[in-house]
Amino acid sequence: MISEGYNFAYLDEQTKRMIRRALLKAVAVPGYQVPFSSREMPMPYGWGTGGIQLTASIIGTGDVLKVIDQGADDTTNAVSIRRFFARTSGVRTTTKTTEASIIQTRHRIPETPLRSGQIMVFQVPIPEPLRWLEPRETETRKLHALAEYGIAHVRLYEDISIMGRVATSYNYPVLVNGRYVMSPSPIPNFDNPKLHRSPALMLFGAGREQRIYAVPPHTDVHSLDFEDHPFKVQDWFEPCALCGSRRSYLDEIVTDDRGGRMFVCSDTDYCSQRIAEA
Amino acid sequence: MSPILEARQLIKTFGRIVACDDLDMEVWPGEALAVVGESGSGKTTLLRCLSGLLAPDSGAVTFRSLGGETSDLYAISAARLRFLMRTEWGFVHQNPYQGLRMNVSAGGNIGERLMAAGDRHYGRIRGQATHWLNELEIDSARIDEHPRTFSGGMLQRLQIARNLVTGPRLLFMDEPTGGLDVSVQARLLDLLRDLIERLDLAVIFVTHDLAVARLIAERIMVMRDGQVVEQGLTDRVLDDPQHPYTQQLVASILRL
Amino acid sequence: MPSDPRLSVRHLAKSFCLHLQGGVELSVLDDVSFDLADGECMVIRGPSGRGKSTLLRMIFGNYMAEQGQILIRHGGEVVDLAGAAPRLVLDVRRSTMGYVSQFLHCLPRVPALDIVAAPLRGLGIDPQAARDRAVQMLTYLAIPERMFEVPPATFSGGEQQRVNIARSLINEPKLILLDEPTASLDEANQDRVLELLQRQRDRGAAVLAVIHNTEVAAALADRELHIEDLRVTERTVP
Repeated sequence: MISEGYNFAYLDEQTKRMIRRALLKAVAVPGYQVPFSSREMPMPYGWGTGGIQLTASIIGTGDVLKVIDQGADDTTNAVSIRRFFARTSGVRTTTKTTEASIIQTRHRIPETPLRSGQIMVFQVPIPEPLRWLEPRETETRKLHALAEYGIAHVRLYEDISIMGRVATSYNYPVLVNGRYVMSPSPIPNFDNPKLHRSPALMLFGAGREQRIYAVPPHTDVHSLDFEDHPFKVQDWFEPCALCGSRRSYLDEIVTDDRGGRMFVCSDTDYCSQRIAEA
Repeated sequence: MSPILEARQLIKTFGRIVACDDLDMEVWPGEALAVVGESGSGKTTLLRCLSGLLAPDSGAVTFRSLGGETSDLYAISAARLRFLMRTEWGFVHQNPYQGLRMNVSAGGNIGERLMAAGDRHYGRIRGQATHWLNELEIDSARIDEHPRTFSGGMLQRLQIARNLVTGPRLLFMDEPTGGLDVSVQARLLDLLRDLIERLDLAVIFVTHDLAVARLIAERIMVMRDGQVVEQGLTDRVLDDPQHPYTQQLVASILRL
Repeated sequence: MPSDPRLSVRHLAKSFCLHLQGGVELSVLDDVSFDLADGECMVIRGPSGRGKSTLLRMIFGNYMAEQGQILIRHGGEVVDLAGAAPRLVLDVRRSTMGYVSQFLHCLPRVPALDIVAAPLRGLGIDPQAARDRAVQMLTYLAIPERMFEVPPATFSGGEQQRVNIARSLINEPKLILLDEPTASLDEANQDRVLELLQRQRDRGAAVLAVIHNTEVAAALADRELHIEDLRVTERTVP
């Protein structure tokens, strides 16, 4: 039931307008971090306020919303956020990727291929891909403006020198539209290829850092790498213990305290669909 | 031959302090020039203005690339200036912490400019880093170590290596041996001299130590209160100083 | 033209102003003029402290010449070193003019062989070829091989001076300035150095030397210049 006393989807219309303006800018310049005025939300920073503000600004009565957290629809946070929107907007929610028009996510892209008309909203902790090397915001802005991305590769160099291969397994930097280096949010490397020329619209929101960025549909997104150490996605030795998939991202689940473990799809919807179809 | 760097009518003030008082100067390819003076003479400010780090209040600094094209440092775009700073010349800071990334390995520090210039081959970048570690007499087995584990002298050498990797023709150095132990200083100076000769580098370095100037520089400029009071061949200025201030400086050198 | 002098000094004057001593001015030379041709050796003599070394240093560019001209035939042109740009002086020193100081002043921690080879490397000669010639030079001057890789700081005075001579003459300069080149040498080494200088003069170098020792001066000099009371006068060689 829609709660009384709230504007549709919680945010006031002026704020939605401000965020939509920022979104337009972000879509017009793929991968570029647009500053925006992040609002006080009924959950603390670090709990997805960026993604929530984006969803709140674009959601309409005809939308169908899916919310996932590390691929699962049923974690506490995913459930809370989904219920938040149900109560403040009355919009229909779903766990099925194929049914959703807006998918808000923390740290994963669904296995089911997205289609034109769908919008992914990513929750982003640290939007600046160069932050680890360059703590000054004044300097990182210059680096982006001048496309000086040497240090983005330094991170990969460091990995290879220590581990023999690029060990960054999530939040792997990408080059968007041949121009801006972007943090795809802490999704696993495994999901990076899904960004490349996707028919869906990808929106990224960082509430605490107050940045919005976007990748429009059908945009080139390339993971940074070296000629002699090309980008590779992760492999597993086993299929999903529940549905048998060999092509999805697996979570390791500890089953007992004697070392028992199993690997299952992180994308709960994908996994249950496969089981249902089998 | 034309100068590799020229400054005309350079003025830089900080409030009432005149750090560079209408200076003209040039530096020639392959030349080692020392700018000496005491604290507050303006020598470091001059160095920063000449290297693109600090815009003067007025005047022009012009750099001539190998092909003959000239760039007015403060008239070109920021992007172009930063590109020149990474490829055509280098700046070695007095404090190596300013010139190095402390949380990046030695190899990563040296390779960064190559990566910034578009090099995308890990093996080749690493090979270059190894080469320059050897050139600067740093054990190349330490290529993956972080600079935090290096001594002061090694940090300076790492900083120099980081600057030389793109083959610049000009090197700016701000008190390169300041704060180093005497024997470490001696070794670094010997190394520098050798590199300058072999790589045909032009070097402008700031020092308050006349002995260092005599060791490395063929030409010397003596600064005081933002002005050049005397300049010429190093041996001439130090053996037959004309200006009262120069005479005072020379008389102050400790001799054993 | 072959008869043009290698060195022409015109109305050279020098005084030192000691600002730290209240601006005391010491005049050393006044209106000095002379010519020196290729293949000629001129010895400068006179009482101590009268400006002999000063004159040499001014010609070499080590002391400032505020008045007068120091004309040197360099690479087919005549250049005036008085008031010349440092680059020009360095260029002249690199290939045309050599200077043997009274004592060796060289870079510390550099082996004797490299000290001697350095001027050749400065001319662009291959480092190995430069070292080979340095070996020849030091051998001729009776420096033992075991000392080649040792920095000269620990050498005796005579040995240091021989290294000094070797490195100043190795690039066969056309104008050679010498300040008491043999004063610290024993007789045998004195003879070797004399022979070296005579050979240089015979192959066409112009030699200008400050030499106290009457015998050595006599052996070398074609002409004699006497400095006293700020002036020079030429005297006939006995």
